[in-house]
Amino acid sequence: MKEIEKVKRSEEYSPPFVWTGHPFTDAGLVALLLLSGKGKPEELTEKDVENAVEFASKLYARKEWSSGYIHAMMLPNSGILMANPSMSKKRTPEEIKKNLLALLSEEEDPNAPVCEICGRKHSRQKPVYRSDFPLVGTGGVPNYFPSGRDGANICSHCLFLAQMMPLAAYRLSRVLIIHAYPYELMLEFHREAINDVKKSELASVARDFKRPENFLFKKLGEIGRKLEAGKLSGASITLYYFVNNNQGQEIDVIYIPNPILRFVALASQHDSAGWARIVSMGWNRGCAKRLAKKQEEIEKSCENDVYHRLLDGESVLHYFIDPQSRRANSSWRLLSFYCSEVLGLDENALEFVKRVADRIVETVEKLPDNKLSRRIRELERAEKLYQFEGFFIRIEKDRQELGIPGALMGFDDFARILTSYGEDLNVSWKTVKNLLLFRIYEKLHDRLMEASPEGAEEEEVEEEFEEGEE
Amino acid sequence: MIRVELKAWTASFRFPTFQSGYQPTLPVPPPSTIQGILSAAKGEPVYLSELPYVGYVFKSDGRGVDLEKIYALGKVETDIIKREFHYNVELYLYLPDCWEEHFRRPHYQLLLGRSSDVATVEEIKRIQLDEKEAPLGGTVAPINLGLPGMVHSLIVEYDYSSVPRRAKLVKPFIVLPFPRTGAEKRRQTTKALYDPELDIGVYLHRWGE
Ligand SMILES: [Zn+2]
Repeated sequence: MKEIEKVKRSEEYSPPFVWTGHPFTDAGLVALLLLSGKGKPEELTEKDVENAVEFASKLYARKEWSSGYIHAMMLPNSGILMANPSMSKKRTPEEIKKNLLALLSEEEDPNAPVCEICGRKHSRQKPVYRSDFPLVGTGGVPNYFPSGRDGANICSHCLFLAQMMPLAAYRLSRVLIIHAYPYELMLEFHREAINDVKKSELASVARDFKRPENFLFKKLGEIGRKLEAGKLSGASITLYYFVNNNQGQEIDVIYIPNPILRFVALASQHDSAGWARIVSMGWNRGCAKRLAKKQEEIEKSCENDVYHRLLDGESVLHYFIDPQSRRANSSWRLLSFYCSEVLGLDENALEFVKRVADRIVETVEKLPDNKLSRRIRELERAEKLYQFEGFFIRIEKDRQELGIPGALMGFDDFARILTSYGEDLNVSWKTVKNLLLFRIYEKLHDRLMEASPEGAEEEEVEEEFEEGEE
Repeated sequence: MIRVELKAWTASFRFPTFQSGYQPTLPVPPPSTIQGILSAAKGEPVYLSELPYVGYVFKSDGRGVDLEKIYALGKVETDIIKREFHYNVELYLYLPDCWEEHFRRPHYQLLLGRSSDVATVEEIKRIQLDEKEAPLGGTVAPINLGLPGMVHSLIVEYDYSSVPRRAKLVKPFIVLPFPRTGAEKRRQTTKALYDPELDIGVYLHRWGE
């Protein structure tokens, strides 16, 4: 009889906790796993859970956590974690532990609706408000619950996981959860938070980063350096940056597209210096100037246009080149990955532009320094399509004068480079222009730097005159 | 199979549990919104898990944020919340032929989110889709499809036999916005039914199986 019961139970066995896809409960699960040194929810034992609860309760009973963090940022007036100011006298680790464990033994009512988060268990009888589950709404304004019911349908297990979330969260000016899939990646992103908590017994402040996206890109670079490229092929990251207190509730959902993940990982693995140069061009100038004396503060506090553009789906191609010092910021490989994977430029097109660039180099490198510098300046300063056209025509003339056999390109190629990339936000003639400059800087940086900049400025007047005569 | 095209000025799809203060919209409607639309068209509760299949593709021209004054139910109390919404939207539903009659004369008004997000039926058309490698988007897909996208748990359908309605089926999904660039198309490509007119793959959900 006992045997049968055992078999039956193992067939029905489903682990007490699973990944749900909800950022808050998944973050709680991350905390449980990292504290127990486990990688998968099914590996968690009862003892692991109890230890984690004990660890959490000790911290949660302290003022820094209770009123300073849980009540102030995440779960205002929480009854379960006793962060409600009226409970301060009774608040002890033992009481909090009791509350947490009670959630796990709460009986399920099969007549209750299923949990809106995991769908596996029945929701608890008591309504769930934002004092127990961040941002879920309040009974005061039940407008957004189905049929004006007060509280959300959430099971006691999902509710328990949400109570573990403070351990894994990063505390910036709001709370940051990095929800990543596959979930192993989420463990990587939150490991630092748990380590900080273990060390300082305070919530992780994410190395004092003030901006969630800056922290993410920093971590992504570090984690990306260790990852095999294939590991990220189907990966996704979404940042949930929120605050939930009595003064107000806000949430930003920042999705990081997969090509951006892979691009940053590749950059950190194979061209970290190049990536650092690209990023360094994007800092908000006023902010960077203000913090010039505290370099390490810049990356924590200033806005970065490279990050914003990557997240907004806008091109950062112009940051791959530094026209001031006439230098390519990264390797061609990183540029090529960015163009094909992020911008979606097809590889043939990229190869074609590279070939044209190489023929331009072949031509202009035969020019004297002054003229070389001036020619390239024409390309750098082309803001209108006709100016861009003019550059090619001059190069063609240079070829003839220098007696270089063969044309720079045929008519079809000419038409293709000017028009076929259209005025699409990401892939236009300006894209081609930046790619050409990248290749030219890559090949001719030293010579271009030799040509004195003062000389180039003087030539400017002469050049305009020349143009007028034509 | 038929394809029903709906159009609306605005649409908003709440994340199931974010309702305090600021309400971001999901990039595409969750299945429960599709259940709502089908139920409104038919005039009675429809269960997606009882349909042989259902597919959908959602496109929008962009997003904005609206300030909304809400009146608390049953109280003299108001609040201002910020709600994100899509504008100029299209929703294409891929359904068995028998659905044509319901969308010719919908029983109730069709809504893409809130009661202000009213949609009209633009076209109903019989189509046949062939399977090929195609970009998926403007829809949700099962996690095990392996495509990268925002992962979130969503309600598939509600049980309407009780008041208030209750969640009946909940699953984690990959949320795939309609791809705009070649790069997005490439990374969302998988074997799927292909709709050449929209240049998009259509994932047919079969929740009954
Ligand atoms: Zn649950």
